[in-house]
Amino acid sequence: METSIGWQLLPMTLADGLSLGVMYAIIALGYTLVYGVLGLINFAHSEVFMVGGIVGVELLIYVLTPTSLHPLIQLALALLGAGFAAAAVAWGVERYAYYPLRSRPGSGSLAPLITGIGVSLVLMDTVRLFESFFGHFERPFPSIAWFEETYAVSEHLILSYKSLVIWGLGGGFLALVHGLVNRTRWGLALRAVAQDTHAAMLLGIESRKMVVLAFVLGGFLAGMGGVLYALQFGKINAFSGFVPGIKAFTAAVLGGIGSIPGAVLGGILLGLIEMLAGTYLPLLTDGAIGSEYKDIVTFLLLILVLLCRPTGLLGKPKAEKV
Amino acid sequence: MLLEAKGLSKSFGGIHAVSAVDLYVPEKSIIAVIGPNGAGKTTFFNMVTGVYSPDAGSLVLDGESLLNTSADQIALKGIARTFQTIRIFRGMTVLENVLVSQAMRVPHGLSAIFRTAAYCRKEQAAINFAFECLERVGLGGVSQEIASCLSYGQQRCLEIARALALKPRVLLLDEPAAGMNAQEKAVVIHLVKVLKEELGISIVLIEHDMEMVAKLADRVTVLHHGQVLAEGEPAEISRHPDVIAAYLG
Amino acid sequence: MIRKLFNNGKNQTTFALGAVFLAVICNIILATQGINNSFVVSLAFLLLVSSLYRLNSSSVATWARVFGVVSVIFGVLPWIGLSRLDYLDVATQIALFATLAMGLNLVVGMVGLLDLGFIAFFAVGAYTWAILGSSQLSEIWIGFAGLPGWSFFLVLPCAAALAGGVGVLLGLPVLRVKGDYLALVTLGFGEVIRVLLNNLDKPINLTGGPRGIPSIHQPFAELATTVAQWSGIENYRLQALAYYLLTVLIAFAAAWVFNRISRSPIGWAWEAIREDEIAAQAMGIPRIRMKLLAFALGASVSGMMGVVFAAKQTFISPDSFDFNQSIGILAMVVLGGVGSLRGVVLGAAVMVILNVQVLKGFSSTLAALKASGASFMGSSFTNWPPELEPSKYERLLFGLLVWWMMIYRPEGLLPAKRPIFIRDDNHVA
Repeated sequence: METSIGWQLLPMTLADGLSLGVMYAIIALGYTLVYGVLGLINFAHSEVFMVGGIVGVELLIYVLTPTSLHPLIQLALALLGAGFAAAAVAWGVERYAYYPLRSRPGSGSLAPLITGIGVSLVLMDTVRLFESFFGHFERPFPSIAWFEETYAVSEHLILSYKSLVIWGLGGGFLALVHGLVNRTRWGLALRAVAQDTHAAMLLGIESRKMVVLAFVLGGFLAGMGGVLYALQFGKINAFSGFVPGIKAFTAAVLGGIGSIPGAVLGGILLGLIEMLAGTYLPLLTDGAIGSEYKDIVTFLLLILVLLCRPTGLLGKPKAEKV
Repeated sequence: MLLEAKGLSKSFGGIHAVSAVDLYVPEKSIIAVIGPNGAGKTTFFNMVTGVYSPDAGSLVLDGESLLNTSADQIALKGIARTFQTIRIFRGMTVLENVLVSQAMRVPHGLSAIFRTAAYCRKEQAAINFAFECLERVGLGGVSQEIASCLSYGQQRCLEIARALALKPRVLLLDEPAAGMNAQEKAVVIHLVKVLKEELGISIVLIEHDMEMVAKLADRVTVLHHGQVLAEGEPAEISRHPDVIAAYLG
Repeated sequence: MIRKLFNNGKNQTTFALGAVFLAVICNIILATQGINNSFVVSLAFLLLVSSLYRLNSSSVATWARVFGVVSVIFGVLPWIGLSRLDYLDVATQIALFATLAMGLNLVVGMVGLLDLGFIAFFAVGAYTWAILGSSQLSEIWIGFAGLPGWSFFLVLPCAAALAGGVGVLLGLPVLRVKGDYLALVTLGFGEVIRVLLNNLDKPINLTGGPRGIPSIHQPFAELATTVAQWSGIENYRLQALAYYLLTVLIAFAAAWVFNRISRSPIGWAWEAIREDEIAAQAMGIPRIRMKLLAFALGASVSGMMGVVFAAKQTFISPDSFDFNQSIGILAMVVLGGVGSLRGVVLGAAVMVILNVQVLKGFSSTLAALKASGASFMGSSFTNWPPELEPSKYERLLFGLLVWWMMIYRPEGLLPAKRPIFIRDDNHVA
């Protein structure tokens, strides 16, 4: 009996896991892009994601839902707005936090990490203060009936339009980035800088421009991811970036940091694993272990990956140059 | 034979960086390893010093196998090295750079925390020895400077002093004279000779400057595409048709 | 003329001692006059701290340094503190956070590893004593009334070892790979500890969940009762004094050990690893073992202070161990000077005073304004939303501070000094 309930939950769990995974993949791309060109973990990236989400939701609440546009067009406009806002923040972070450090010789590898943490806190609290100035804290995603409509695939798999939208848009973004990086001149330059900054500079590629590109592109994606996050979970607040940020970075490491397909694979895998753990841990242990422990499963996975395959699933073993 | 490397191989993602390279280093000798860029010389050094573990082959120092030995253990067992791209501890003083090599040789447990008389004696001995090493490479006068303030040539000499402080039996020098002017080169050549003659250290030398190789080396091994192209005395090697072909294209 | 006056060693000593004396007088006047304005109090406290730092500059005679520090920390502060518990509490907090900052400095400053979950080890220590030293376990272990107060001193080293062990377990898989990952893994570990603390109230009630653990046993309860009987000072004041002295003693011990260890060959090795891992290893430094050592030492100091914290608070809940706390300690290290022992102690003092006194002072000023119905530029303070209270700006403050310091003064307020090694030709090995 027990097991049959378990099986019935599986399709929906996988569907939700996929939605979550797409979001992780989108955020993870930002980490991987920056890591690829700079070898740096951009700790402020999770807040860029959060800013995008907040901006998108505010746009929807104050500007877009009052119009009579089709919900999809409303969402598309919100995504664009959020993307630009987040890209601007990401640009600012690069310009005012990381660039001054890079231009100072011998600042070590610790300084950018610590600065990133600082920027992350500043962004978090600025948004919190801004929202609380208007008496808000948690911002609800406006209820748009269209997104809640469902399509029953089978008895146990009922998909809401919102999941379909997240999958479709998420997949579209990821394909777009893949195309951008692999098919365009800018993408080629970006990959060249990621391979060897010095050699790329000798070939006339301005590495600084490519660094900015990585930040802005990652930021744009993260901002749109933030809106999708708010759509999926129905709300967003100033602290919503923190945990998804850690998870997405885990996803990037899982897939192989610096690798774009790796970030996508890692993100989707992580989303699925997390949802499965959230559903089945309480079921299998009769509620002794709650679904809160899904975060611990993620963490154990990260440790396991670092232990067994530090280069990640799709990352190539790269010998450190000596 | 002091150091014996047989059939050492390493590949990265399907590219054979080094395949089946042999190198024999007798006591008190200078062996040069030459070859065009990308021939696998530095990769070979990295295998001998334990930075990379070889895919195949054997590595024996004075009868003791060094496979599966970590880089720090290999260093303490008597193989010291310098780096092609300078890797001094930039923020530390020149003297401290050299002292690091002795950190694991002086007692570093509780006696160092309580600074017992015995510990202080050994620490002072280490400091004095570090000064000696610096004087040997001509850096005695700048011992209290921050290492990153030294000139390029001095930084290369500091790397040698640091390696000497390990009291090595084999010293691997990775392009020690790269970027030096003629005068500095002459100093390095003299230094390498002194190390061999006075301290009895065997030296393995990666160098592009054939003149320097001819002056110093007892034997030369030529690497090309990760394999040994030729091996012999400097005079033989410079006449070797394969070597000439490899260098000219 | 003035420069001459100041460069003279004797004058320097007199001047520095005079400054300390002046600061002490200021503080005594404040305390005895019952002045509670937190700006004035924190200013006086900062004056005291900075005068002590002035005293410890190299040109001052050793006897004066020892005299000044000992008389202020073990004489003046406890004396004022007995009548003004808020004073004593700030001093205790400074000592506690200074120790934590020194522990984190070992990891971040000496070896160059970024640990973003430092407070998790603090939590391990705190919960160790909270669970063992209260009736928390009685639900599953019937009849277990918790260890008696005196066993605190046995648990102290055990918890330190436990936290160190957790550090090793965490560091072992991570320290092999690139250093950056450690930041992420420790960040994740902080989250894991938070989740565990919040959820381990079922199936067996180990941590009390979000409600925490109340009525933790007091190690100094009996001692304080005895002393109170013949001295006539209230029990709770004596206990507060005991915690102050214990924290300060641990802080001094930690400072001594960390200072010595950073000057020992282990310290040379750590610094070399920070500068260039691969070169360090080529010079015979076992880098993973050395990194683990630093990581575990830092963790165990944090765990030890956790035990003291749990006993002092008598109640702990997961709220005390969130990410903000880890970042707060990191901010102390960055402010004072990464790698500089005396720097991070100063960083801890400044941050505690800023956090405890200044921000809360702003909040109470604002509350007073609200109550009075005053207005500023046409908007009444009464309508000011509670979220905007300055005591909640902690995160913004830490963030701005860390960002600004890293870009404009990366070496911190008091950069590290390096010892000078001198050749001794008369030395016989």
